[in-house]
Amino acid sequence: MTKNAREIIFIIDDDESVRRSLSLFLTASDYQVQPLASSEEYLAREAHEGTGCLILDVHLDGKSGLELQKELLNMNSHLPIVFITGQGNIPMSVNALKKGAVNFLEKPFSEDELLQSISEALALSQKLKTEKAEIEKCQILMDTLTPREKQILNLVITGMLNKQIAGELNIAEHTVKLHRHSICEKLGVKSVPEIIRISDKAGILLGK
Amino acid sequence: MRRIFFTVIFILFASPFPEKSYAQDNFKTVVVFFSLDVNLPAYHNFMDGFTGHYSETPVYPYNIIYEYIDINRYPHENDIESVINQYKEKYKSVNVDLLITFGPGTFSLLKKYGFDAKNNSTIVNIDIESNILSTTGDPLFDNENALHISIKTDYGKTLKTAFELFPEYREVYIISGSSPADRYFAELTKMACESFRDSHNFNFIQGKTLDSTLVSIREIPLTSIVFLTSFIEDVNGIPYSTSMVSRITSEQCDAPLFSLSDDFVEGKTIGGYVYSFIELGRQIERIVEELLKGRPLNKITVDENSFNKHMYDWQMLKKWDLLDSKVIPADSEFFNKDVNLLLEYRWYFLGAVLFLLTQTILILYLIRMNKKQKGVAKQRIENELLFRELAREDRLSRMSELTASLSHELNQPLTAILYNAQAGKRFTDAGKLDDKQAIEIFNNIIEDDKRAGSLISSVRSLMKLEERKKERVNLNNLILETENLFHSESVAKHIQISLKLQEHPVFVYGDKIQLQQVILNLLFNAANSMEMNSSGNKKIEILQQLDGGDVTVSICDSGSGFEDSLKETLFNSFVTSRAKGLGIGLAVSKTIIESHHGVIWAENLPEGGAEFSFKLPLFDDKKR
Repeated sequence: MTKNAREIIFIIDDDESVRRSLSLFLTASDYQVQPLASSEEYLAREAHEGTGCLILDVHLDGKSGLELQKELLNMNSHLPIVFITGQGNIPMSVNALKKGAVNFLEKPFSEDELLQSISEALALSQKLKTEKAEIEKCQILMDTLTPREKQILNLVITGMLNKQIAGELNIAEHTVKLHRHSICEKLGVKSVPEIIRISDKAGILLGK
Repeated sequence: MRRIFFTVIFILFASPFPEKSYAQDNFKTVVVFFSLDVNLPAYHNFMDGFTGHYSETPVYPYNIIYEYIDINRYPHENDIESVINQYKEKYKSVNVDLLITFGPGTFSLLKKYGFDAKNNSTIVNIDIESNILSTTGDPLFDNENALHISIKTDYGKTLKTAFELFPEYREVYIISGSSPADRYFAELTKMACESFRDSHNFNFIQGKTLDSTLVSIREIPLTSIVFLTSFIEDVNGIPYSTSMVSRITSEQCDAPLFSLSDDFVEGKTIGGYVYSFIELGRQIERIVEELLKGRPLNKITVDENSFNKHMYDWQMLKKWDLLDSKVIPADSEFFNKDVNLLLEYRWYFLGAVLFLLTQTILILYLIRMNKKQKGVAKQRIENELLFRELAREDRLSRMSELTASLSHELNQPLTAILYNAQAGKRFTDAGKLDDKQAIEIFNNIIEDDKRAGSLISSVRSLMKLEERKKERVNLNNLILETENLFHSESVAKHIQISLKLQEHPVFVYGDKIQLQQVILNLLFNAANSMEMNSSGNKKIEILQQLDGGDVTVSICDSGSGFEDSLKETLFNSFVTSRAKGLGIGLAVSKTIIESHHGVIWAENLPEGGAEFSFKLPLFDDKKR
């Protein structure tokens, strides 16, 4: 089986032997791996555009795994995390999972556990990537609209009729109709629910 | 009949001075004639002053003989003549160097009845002023051989002092006897009273029997002062002694009682500015000495006013609460003063106390030593057991702290071994395992296994209790090994550990495991002391320094340091700032270091945090 060349598994553990053995194992399992010794090393490298996941040790010299997780969330990074630890505890794992970690593995974990977690993480990564691409597409579509069209779109998605929109904007109803037609053409849709779906993905808020 | 009586009296009085004693020795002889009787307090005071200087030395430079004419008891001229004739007979062949006459009319009577000592000796005459004045111009008395000293009183000041001591007391009662001398002193007092007429009301009690005198003072007002001038004789010619009268008076009325002279000493009077017969005696002593040394009579000076002094009875001042009175000058003479035993004999007390204390300490020490000796073997065994127990306890508590870390430490190589093996398996399954990869995987597994094994042996040796044999220990390696053991703990607590070790290995002679325990204890302490400072950097620095024949290992932290007050007790057992932990780590460390002939100490760092150091002698092959 061949893997997407842009799918990378980052192994972040300060224990060299663990790092080395995991990367050896995952290489043997046909994954592309990138072993790193610390959170700082990961943050220093160029952001990974493709899919993939992090195998992240909780206890690290310098910035801990949990701190890195928090930071990556703030940076809107989309790579799922599989935590590994030598001495985990329940509150710590719950906290990590709440924040979107795929799994929390205690050393020594079995290869099945690890591979299962990795495949879940990669699937999630793939899904997140697809979603992200769609959002980007919607945003691009939205950007094609003129300011007047955006204004009318905002009113359309609140469920207002053409007559009401004309009254609100103090323009002729016929003009509103022309704008709606243009919006539908640019977005490539035919119905109001479709307009709402694209607006939602593009992050346009309902109302004002 | 009467003559026989006088003779008996005379012998009784004279017998203490047998003729031989002063006839044969080279001492000069001074004879003092008193006109009144032996019980007169004024005479006693005079004699105290007169012999005061010599009373402390056993040998008198001159003999003093006291003679009494006792004109009070035997007032008839015939009796007086008879007494004086006896004295004439007695002193017929005695060489008298100096004659002193003291008392009303003594000088006159002796002259009148022709008493004359063997040599026409010098006479010092002391008498009341009027008697002396009456002899002036009389050729019989006014001769060159006589020095007349008059008793000059200052009753004005005497009264004034008393009135100042009792400023609220306005009623004054003055008691006097009826003899010529009594009347004379009473007159002087009366004259002195004149200047106080405006402020005080004077009542003179005179010309009465003692009984009626006492009756008349029994009912006096509360704010009254009583003066007793002198009471030698009552109106019926019955002789009394002034001190006796003053004692009785003080029993009969509760008023403050004053006298005019220092005969209060036995008389329950307060004292005051009085005529001092003691002072008179002291001055006479001086005069006698000068005269006997050959100083001519006309060169002798006497300040007759200097006999008036402030003198007080301490007990009476205490009774009337006058001890702090400003009226009483600091240089006053005090009698019947309280003897403060503790103050008087303080050195004896101190000495005795010290002696007893020394003895007690010595005895206690000996008892203790004895007990100690008996229990020393037992104690040693107990101490040894206790230390071992403590050391084991400490190790166990350390171990429980270590367990969590150790499981992590062990999980690392176990995980690594597992995934090396899994990787090898996968490569083989895929038929992609090349020799290079296989060797890498096997080497990794071997290394990880060794690591796990050494961790386990460290734990096992830490748990061991038995004394291990000392050996040559590479201190650098030991520090590195211990730091490794501590590694996961430091990671979990976000502690940065830096090492500054000597480039060349440093060897000491000791028990590797015990020394490792010391370093581990210090590392744990350092980590714990930094638990609180979550914001600041948590750093531990391990320094190894050479100093002559010693090596010092210091473990510095950036924690809270320790309280200065703990510095002395830090290495004692059960001293801890932590809620958990036994507080024996440092005590055990100290014992271990000391058993390695080293020292261990702690210091707070100026920039915060603490530095714990131990110093050990370097390994020296020649000494082993």
